Amino acid sequence: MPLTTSQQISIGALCSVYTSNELASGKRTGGVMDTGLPVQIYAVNQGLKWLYEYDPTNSDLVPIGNYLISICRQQFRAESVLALNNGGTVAPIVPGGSSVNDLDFIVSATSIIETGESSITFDGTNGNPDFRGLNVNFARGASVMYTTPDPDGGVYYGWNKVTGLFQLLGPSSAAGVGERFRIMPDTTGGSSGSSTGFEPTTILLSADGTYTLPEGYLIWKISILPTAADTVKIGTTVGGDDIMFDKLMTTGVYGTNGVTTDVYAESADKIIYFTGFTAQATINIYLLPI
Amino acid sequence: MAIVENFTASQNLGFPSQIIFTDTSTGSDAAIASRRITTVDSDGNYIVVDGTQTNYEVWPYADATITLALLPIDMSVYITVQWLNSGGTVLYTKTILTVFRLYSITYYIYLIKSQSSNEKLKNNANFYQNEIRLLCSLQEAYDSVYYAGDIKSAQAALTRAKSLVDNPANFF
Repeated sequence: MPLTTSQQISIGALCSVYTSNELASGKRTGGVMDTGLPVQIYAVNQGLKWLYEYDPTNSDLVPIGNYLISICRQQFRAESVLALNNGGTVAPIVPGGSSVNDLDFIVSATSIIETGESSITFDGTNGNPDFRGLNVNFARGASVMYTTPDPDGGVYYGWNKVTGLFQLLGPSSAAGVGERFRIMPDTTGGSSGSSTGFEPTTILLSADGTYTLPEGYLIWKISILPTAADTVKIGTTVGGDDIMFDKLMTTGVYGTNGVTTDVYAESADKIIYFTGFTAQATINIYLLPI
Repeated sequence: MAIVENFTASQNLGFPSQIIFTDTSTGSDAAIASRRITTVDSDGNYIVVDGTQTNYEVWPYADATITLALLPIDMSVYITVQWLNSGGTVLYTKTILTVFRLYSITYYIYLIKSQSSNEKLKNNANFYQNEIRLLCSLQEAYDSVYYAGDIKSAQAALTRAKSLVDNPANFF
């Protein structure tokens, strides 16, 4: 269901805070971040808020609201906190599989990556395909590109499968008119492309909740960062503990909280049930393809 | 029986010069025959509709709302509404300090809309920095009134905002 303007405003307000916190902490939840992003989110959100206050049926609410959401880093975290996704259940991005196509084009003023541009986000917004969760290979001209910096100082590329940020990197790496590009999403292997390594799916729960393990994946590890000394169990049934028996959480610590496990979703999505949270906890779920 | 006097002053998008007054008083008083609206800016000047000969505007008591084109620019003003009997004696008075920012807010929304259809604008340092300056000026005007009751500071902030809005070729 599409977000309402009121929901978009709430998400924007939270994302401004979260990105500011992320910037101040020095840690990134995924990929690079424009240091001006928190202010940008705040500025766009304020414009949307004013327009909504004065004219809640104005037609410009749609494009401005959609733009706001497109720049909202940590949108899903905000939605979880605002309980916009049914109280803590987060369905991760399911890789597109057979419906995902290569992008093969010649750079121009109107191509997918336009002349002079150095990045694009493939997250399903702005008319771009959604490649999040996939590996992406990239060919430029007659050369296959790598994600590691060229020791000879040449161009390479960056790909963050969590955010969908695709970047042209290296000196003079911006797209040049007439260049031939081929961006190849890969569901079977190839270059991982992520600059941040093995990235978990992160959910937030403040009460009993669920996580949907997508078909074709297994859970390797679950790490929990609680804000209260809750006793938590994890299972594949409501209130179940077949994944993790009751464990007393240590507040503010990842290391002793969680479990290494092999929970498979071989032929269908599988719901994982978390029981025992009484205060907000950050849960990192590390997935592997089966 | 007496009234608990109250009113609101608001604006509608697209009409930044207008203020819509709404009488939100509770109770009733049969002695009330009319109202007056007195608007004073940060320099102590009375603000009236063009052609009005008095320092105030008459608000017929039969009308629950009245719309007046009082604002040539964004302004922070004291608004006093008086409820009078048929002899012109003031029975009730209520004064508020408020700020009207719709000229500049309308332009700010235009900038955000432009940015939403051309994301590269945020990479234009001149555009983006001045957009933020405009936002800050608008918020400063609001905060000056609602946190400090400071009409002078509020108007100064609105003047800064106006300087940006009036010179788009230089700032945007």
